[in-house]
Amino acid sequence: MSSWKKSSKVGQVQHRERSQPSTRQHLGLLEKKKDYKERAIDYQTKGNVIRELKKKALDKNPEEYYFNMVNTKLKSGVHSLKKKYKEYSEDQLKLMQTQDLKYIKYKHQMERKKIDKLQTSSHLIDSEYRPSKSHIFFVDSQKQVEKFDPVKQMRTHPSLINRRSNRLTIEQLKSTKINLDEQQINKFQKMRKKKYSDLQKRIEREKKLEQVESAMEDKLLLKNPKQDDDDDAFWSDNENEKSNEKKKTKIIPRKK
Amino acid sequence: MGRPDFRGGRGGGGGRGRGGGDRGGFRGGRGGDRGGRGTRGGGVRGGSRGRGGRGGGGGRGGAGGKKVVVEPHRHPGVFIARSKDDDMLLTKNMVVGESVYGEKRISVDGENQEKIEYRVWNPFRSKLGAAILSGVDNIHMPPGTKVLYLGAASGTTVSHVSDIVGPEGLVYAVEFSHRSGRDLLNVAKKRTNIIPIIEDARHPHKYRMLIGMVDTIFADVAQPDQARIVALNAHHFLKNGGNFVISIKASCIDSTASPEAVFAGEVKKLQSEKLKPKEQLTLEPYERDHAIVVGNYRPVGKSKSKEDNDKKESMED
Repeated sequence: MSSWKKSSKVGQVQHRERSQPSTRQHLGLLEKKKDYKERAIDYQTKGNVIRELKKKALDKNPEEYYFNMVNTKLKSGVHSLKKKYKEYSEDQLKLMQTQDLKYIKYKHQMERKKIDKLQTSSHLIDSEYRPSKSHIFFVDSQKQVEKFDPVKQMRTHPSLINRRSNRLTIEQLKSTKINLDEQQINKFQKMRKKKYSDLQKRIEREKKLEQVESAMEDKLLLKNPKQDDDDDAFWSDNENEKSNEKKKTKIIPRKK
Repeated sequence: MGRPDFRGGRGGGGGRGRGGGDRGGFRGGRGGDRGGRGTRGGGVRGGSRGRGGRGGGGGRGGAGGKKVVVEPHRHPGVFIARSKDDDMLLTKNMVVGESVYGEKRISVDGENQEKIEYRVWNPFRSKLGAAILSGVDNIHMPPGTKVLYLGAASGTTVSHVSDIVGPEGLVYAVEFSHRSGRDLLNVAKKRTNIIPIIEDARHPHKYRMLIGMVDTIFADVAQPDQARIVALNAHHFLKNGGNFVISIKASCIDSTASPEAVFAGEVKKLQSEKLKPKEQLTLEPYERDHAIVVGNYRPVGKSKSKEDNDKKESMED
């Protein structure tokens, strides 16, 4: 009976929200639950970030080498690539124009995760890609160089010499019974090929996204530069010295 | 300020996952990105540990499961699995029923209808695994070998080496960093053939009391003076005629020179320390500008080794 409910409320006292008493006015507005909730959530998220960062700092191996140590440079508080990408494909340009950085970052991260996942189960066994001069044997004399026979060195069957992932030795081939279903193996191989091409495409896509991301980050940096805390003074490369010299030459006439 | 507590939130320290071993994922752990990457659902027959419980308690995941062909590898203790959409490097799991770092497990019916469990070894994360798939001639780690492992990190590859050398073998795992050393200790708790040593590999005299003579040294220390570190340890612990396997990261030694030149330089350095390189191979699809060098330490007398060679040749004929 909603009509009754309504009419019964007519004479009710209205409880208005309590405000800060005048004696405590100097403490500012009285905090309500919703305010507290906001404050608490903010506090917790900040705490979580700090904890994550501390963990990262502890996990970091200061002696580990990263390519970014050479390839990037700290400028205005942000690491950016020394050699910028210059050419972007049409798709990349479209992405830059239509999407925002957060979306690109999200997609990039997703791609990376997927690659990681694929790599855990597809180990690129007997992939076709292989640079030349990848396997070198050292022998004592010129005579041995002339005599060198990879099949003999590996103690394997000549037909297995190009099967890098698993060159069974002659003894193993003699002792083990291998009953493989040729048909099934061929079928497997075809299906795996599909997966590998997928992996390869993903890797390419990830690279492109990375380029877009770094370009967009740079652009953002140009728009609103952070505080000037260059590490140029500390890491004085040749480039920096040159720029310092330029500055000096500019200053001199002003002093006069 | 004591040690910061990471247990707090979700995805914290990871003690839980490792301890019980019955939960998937092993969230957190080292470097976050590894979290929660256990297999999902039934994975390969029986093996999966992803979301525990689903698919009939991991007994036979799904009707029939996937067909997997496991073939033995040239290097004893290593296997290769091929299935419809996977091909994987494996080692036979010494501690059945447990993953070390959240890797996938596969169990396959053996000859006498018994189950054999394997662990997947990711060559993208392990240089030794990458070397094996790139076709290295010899890793000198047959079952029963004593291996000195320099640069053990969190013990992921170490656990596979311990699988390979088996219960008769031994792995002395040396790691300097305390943080990854803690993970290493946890690995060693489950595997009795790993002896963890948290020390700087540059000072072998500090741990000389813990190690006897070893047959093989494996080094993955990624330091500019790697050759010297390996030589020092070899002089202390490696038996005459023992072997070494070194992974070299070119950019770590000289980032300006070409990788080939760096590898050649390292090989020279090794030669001057009585470490005689036998082969070198790059780990190309798996790792950029890395090489593995395998060789011999103080090879036994020439006449003797020649005899050995002759024997081998006659056997082959």
